[in-house]
Amino acid sequence: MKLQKISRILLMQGVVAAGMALTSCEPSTGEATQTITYPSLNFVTQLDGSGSMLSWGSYTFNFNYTEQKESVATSNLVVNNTTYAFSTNGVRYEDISPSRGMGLYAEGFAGNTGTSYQLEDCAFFISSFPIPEGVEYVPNKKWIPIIQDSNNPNKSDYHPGAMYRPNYDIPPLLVGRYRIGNLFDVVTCSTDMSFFGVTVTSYPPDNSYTTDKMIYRVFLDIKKNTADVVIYDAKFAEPAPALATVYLPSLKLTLKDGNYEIEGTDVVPMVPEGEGNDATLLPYPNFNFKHFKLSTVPGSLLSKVDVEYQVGAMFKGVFSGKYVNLPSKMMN
Amino acid sequence: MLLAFASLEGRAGSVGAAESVPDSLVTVLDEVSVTSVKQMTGLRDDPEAATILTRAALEQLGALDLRGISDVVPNFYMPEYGSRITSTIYVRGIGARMDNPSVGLNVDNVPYLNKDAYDFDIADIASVEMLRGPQSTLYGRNTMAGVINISTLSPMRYQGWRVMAEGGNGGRAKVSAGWYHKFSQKFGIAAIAAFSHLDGFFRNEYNGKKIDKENNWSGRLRFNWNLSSELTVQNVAASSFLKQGGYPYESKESGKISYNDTCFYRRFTFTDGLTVRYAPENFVLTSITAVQHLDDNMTLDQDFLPEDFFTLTQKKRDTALSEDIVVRGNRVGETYNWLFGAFGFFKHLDMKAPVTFKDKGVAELIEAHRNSANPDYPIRWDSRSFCLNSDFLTDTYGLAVYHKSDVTLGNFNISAALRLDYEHSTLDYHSYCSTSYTIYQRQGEDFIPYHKIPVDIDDKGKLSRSFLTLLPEVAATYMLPNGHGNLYAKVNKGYKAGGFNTQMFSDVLQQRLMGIMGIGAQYDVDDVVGYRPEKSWNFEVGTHLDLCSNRLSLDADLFYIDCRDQQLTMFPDGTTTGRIMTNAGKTRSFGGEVSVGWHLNDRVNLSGSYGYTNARFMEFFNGISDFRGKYIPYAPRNTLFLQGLYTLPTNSKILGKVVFDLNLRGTGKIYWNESNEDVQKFYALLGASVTLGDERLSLKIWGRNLTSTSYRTFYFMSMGNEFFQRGKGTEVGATLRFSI
Repeated sequence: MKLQKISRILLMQGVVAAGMALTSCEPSTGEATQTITYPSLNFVTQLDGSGSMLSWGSYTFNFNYTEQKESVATSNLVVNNTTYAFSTNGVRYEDISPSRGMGLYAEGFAGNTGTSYQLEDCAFFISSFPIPEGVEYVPNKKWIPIIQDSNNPNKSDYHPGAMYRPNYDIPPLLVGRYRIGNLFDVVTCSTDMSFFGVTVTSYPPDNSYTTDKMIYRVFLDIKKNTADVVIYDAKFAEPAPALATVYLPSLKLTLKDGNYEIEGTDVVPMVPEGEGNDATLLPYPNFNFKHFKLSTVPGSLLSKVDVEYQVGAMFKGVFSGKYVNLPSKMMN
Repeated sequence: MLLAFASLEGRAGSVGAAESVPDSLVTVLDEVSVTSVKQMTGLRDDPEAATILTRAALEQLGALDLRGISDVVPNFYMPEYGSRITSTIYVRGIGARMDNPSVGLNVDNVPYLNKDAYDFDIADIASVEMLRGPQSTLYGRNTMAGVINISTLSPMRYQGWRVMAEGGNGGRAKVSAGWYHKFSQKFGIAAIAAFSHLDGFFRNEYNGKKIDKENNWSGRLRFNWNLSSELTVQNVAASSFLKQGGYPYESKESGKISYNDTCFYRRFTFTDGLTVRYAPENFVLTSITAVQHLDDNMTLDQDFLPEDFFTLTQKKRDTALSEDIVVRGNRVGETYNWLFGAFGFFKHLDMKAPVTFKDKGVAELIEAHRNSANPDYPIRWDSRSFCLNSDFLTDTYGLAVYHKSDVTLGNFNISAALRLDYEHSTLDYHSYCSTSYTIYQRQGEDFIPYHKIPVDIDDKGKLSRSFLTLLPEVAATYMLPNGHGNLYAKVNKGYKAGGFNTQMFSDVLQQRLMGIMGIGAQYDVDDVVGYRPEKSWNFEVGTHLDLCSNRLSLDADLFYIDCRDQQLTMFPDGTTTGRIMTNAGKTRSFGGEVSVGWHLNDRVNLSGSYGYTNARFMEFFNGISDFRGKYIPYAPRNTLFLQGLYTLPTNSKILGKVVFDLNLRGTGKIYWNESNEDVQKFYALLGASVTLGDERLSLKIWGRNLTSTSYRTFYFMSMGNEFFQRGKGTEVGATLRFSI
């Protein structure tokens, strides 16, 4: 069980990095173009009030850097066993900033077999991870919580469960929203999201510990309606040791009013020890989570979460954080 | 600032062996020293806070190394602790305990690039010049707090034999012999050999043995060749071998010096400096080529307790080559003068630094830490001792060009200088360790093996950093009428090189090890060990005064230093034992210095110096605590030196004269930590000597710390334990000098 669990984490990490990129320079026009496909999760809210649902999907972006234009297309949005597809025209993208990402506000038509619908309020945002406060942005060095460099597993600075700045670029992250006719709203994002923010832990008699180093990573499994949560640099009190990686497996995933909640009680966390094939996930009963609850913030396009939990008998933690820095226009 | 008593001492010629040429300031500057090459006029005519100690003054002080002039030079403090590798110097609140020094050192024009070699005995010093405040514009890297220039005796100035023998308590024995010969007016050679031995003053209560014993061999070969009236060549090759115990660190808790593992320091050094001076009518071109090599081994019981925690060995082989070319207008006394220079160096450092964890270290520093987090699945190391190895190769090179213009208008002199300095450093590291531990699972009252974790660390990497900086200096001098001295004001920028702090790798490896056990955050190696240059702006006003028909000399100055990007160690959030090197601090220091020398009459010379420094952190958060407003640790607030000399002629050709010397050296307060919780109050050490003899043969009976004043020279923490080093008690001895 131990190795399989780790492999699963590594595999899911790999899925994020698996956005396939094809970069080229059109010989005929001399234009710089790129095509990237992002695996993602579609969060569908039906406009007739019949509920929300999750489905796998993917989005393909065609960039023309020469003209600063991009278009987006999908062919595998599945709702109630019906597959929808759309492809937008190339429109000018907004370069929010080199460190924050780029936004796409497109129009087009979506449809299933034989029917066409207006694509409305279509906005996508491609971003790097938000850089923690006080950290200097270094081009080509993005902050990510890393388990393994999937491009180079033998990297000398491979640090399991650590947060560090790798010297390679990672694929940007995706958040999108759009409406298909009067059928449903779709919010799309990765199934593997990491949330940065501030954690405040309180413990008796009247102590508190505040840190912005703890990162909460979420893996959603829509087939099982479960989620795994990984907390990096978990430190619940000033004098307590920091745990590099705390793994909370198979928490309950529920959909609620266009948002989701991840919840668990009496969860014994697992902490990886060792490296490579010799690694193991070890139960840490001393750090038993009496309860854990993660909720997406309504209106945030699933990009913000609130977390509250209790570790052992006395450590109560609260966290508010975000996945990407969405531009305000995206929220309108 | 010129320490007046020194020059007066030289003029008076009251003490010292015979020389062919009087040991005066003027003759010192006639030598091809780096100072005479770079200063536009005499040090005392320049806007410099400088102290010059002549050979006679140094012999009177009994100073054979830089520690001997601590406190004598105001605001200059070089404490004696640890071993000779720990040669930290503080000037005006600025110092560096790790890596690059804050004070530059040139010995016979060789710029010492490794501060591990700063503390050494050197026989037959001709002069020591200490320039305080940033000297980065002319002297380059690592001279942010000042520069020290040491010149040894030249065979062109002295011919014959010089022999010195000294003995004292603590089993002290020193001998040196020098042969100085001038084959012609054009060529002279000198060969000097020296040996010193110390039984030690401190005893390790663990085994009852003296621990600060020392043996030191050194030799120097020098030639001076005046090829023509325009072309001179000087070469000085020097070598030394040191073997010492050291590290008499006393536990604050037990009050005892007691540790079980071996501590020693061994060092071999070789330096060679070739100075070529070409001086036609209109300019002077000087080339200083230097090579230096250091091979040392520092081995420590790093916990300094009589228990098996951990030990450290640090072996270095450091080789450097440098070239400084200076062209200067030969227009002394004219309205405009100029100087151009170019400097380059290459330095290669090969270092190995293994840390060995022993049984108690494994149990309490590793296993207990991990098991407190997960007592249901405790671990036990499979072997009770293992080694964390770190090997480093560091290559550093630097290039610089500099210029100084000097304009004299009436009694005013204005000078401006600028240096463009580039430095590049690469670090190849290899950290490795092979060990393992076993995780056990609780079953009732028993624990059974659950999983074995191999720990095979084999991390390699290469880091590089480049630094480019401009270092300006502007100064104005007003020359007082009738040769009474001058007033000056100066603004300049100081610079301490950036680089890599390899000492941090043991922390990196320990964190890496803890990370394998699931505890603690990992480091980005570049962030942890790499650091940027430290920079400062220095504002200074001062005066050099000669009064009472030059019988009274007074130098005084006031300074303000704003230091940015200070290189400090801090504790990153989320870790338990680790530290990182970072440019986290801002400090400011202000203060003043005064030196007085009074040649009262032919029998009485009085001198003294006082330095005051108020140095505080303006910004420094070490990851746990905010130290804004706290005093900078290890830098003394006050330094004081007072000396009275009384010369009594005996009217006997055999006995010569008798010189009585009473002196006092004071230092403090010194805060030992950033929180300013531990402090060494101001203390003063009383010294005295009586010298009988003449210039050919003299015997000096001397004593230091005659009142057995108790004081501490160093403080540090290891594994949460506090340690001090006590200062030496009373020292007495006798020195015999013989010159023919």
